[in-house]
Amino acid sequence: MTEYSAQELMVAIASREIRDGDLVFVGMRLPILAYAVARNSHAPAARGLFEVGLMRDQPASRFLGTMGDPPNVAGALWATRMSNAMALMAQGNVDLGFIGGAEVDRFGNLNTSYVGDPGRPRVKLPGSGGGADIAILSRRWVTLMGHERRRLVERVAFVTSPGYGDGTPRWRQRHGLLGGGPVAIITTLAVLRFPDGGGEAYLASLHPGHAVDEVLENTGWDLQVADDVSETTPPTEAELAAIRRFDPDGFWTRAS
Amino acid sequence: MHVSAVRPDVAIVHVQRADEHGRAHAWGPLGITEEAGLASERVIISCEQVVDASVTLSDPNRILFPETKVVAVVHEPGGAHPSPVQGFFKRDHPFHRDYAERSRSVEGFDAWLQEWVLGVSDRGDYMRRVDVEAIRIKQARLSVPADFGDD
Repeated sequence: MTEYSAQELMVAIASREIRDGDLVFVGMRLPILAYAVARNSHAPAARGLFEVGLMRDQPASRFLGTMGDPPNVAGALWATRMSNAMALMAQGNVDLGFIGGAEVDRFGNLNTSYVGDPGRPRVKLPGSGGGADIAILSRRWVTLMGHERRRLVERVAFVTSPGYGDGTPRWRQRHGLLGGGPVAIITTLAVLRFPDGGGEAYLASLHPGHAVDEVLENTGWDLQVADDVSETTPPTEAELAAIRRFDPDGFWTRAS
Repeated sequence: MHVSAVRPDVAIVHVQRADEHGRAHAWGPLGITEEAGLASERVIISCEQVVDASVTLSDPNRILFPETKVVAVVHEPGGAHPSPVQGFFKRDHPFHRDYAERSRSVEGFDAWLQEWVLGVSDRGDYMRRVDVEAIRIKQARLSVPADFGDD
């Protein structure tokens, strides 16, 4: 078995969330790699939409430092303005979105705005970017995060990007949010999923080498554990080869 | 709840080419370029190439802003550095990484600021410190001209 990093495993898991034919709203860092891996394996008909204003089918042929990097523009299916990319999502055309976050809570709400009291924040984070739009408008979405107790919290201090709100039934529908909400939180230790129709995250699978207790200790709420909690399938040789082709120096997946 | 419109006094936009009347051609993903310029009272164009009006007017769909908004055109090759310009410059990855690493500490950020902002005498000085040949895009990938024929 080839050795792999936690980030490489997260990319492989994220890529498996992409279904063939999906229009994927591709965020920076790991999701760019996840899209490339999916296109090269089980989702050859997927298309990627980038908020800078690009649509692609084939992943870029060279390393990308950011989504507007020239290799991501060459061979694009569409080069446009950001508002057009967002408008497609507002029309319900985006099947899957990826969002990064500093904090996530048990109902999948994300905070990328403040650390500490939002009235007197200890740290001001970058804010929404396209996060809130993706969280509200994409049909389903996934977030990736380091599994730390200070990041997986009972309730986020500030809801930048809404998941299932306070977790009450049909919270999203009652607030007029068009998309379906989060389906998975992919962390460095495990995959958390949500019940159909939304609600509270539960532990669905453990990454190889990690234990349920370790996940519970590093989660800031009383995390529910699925009866049939499984072991996360490690990255396949093909997935690792694709990841390393698109991130040859390990900048996104092995540097940290 | 609503968010008030942003009404900047001026937008500074770097493009591939522009003519002396301020007609700017840009290509690639436009992000919020158009909104930024159109929302602003005035626009300053910085460009890789100053071209004849016959070039920009040959493709009016590619002109970003009405010339009535543009108050200055500056010929400044590499003006987007360390960001890329399709067809001209790659993204300067090492420059971005260097900044990311050094800005983790106040001392590191101060040293970076001194090297790249405070200690730089002018634009020419800045560009002489950049490894321009390492980021220059050398292979053309031309689009096919559009036919604007009318008769």
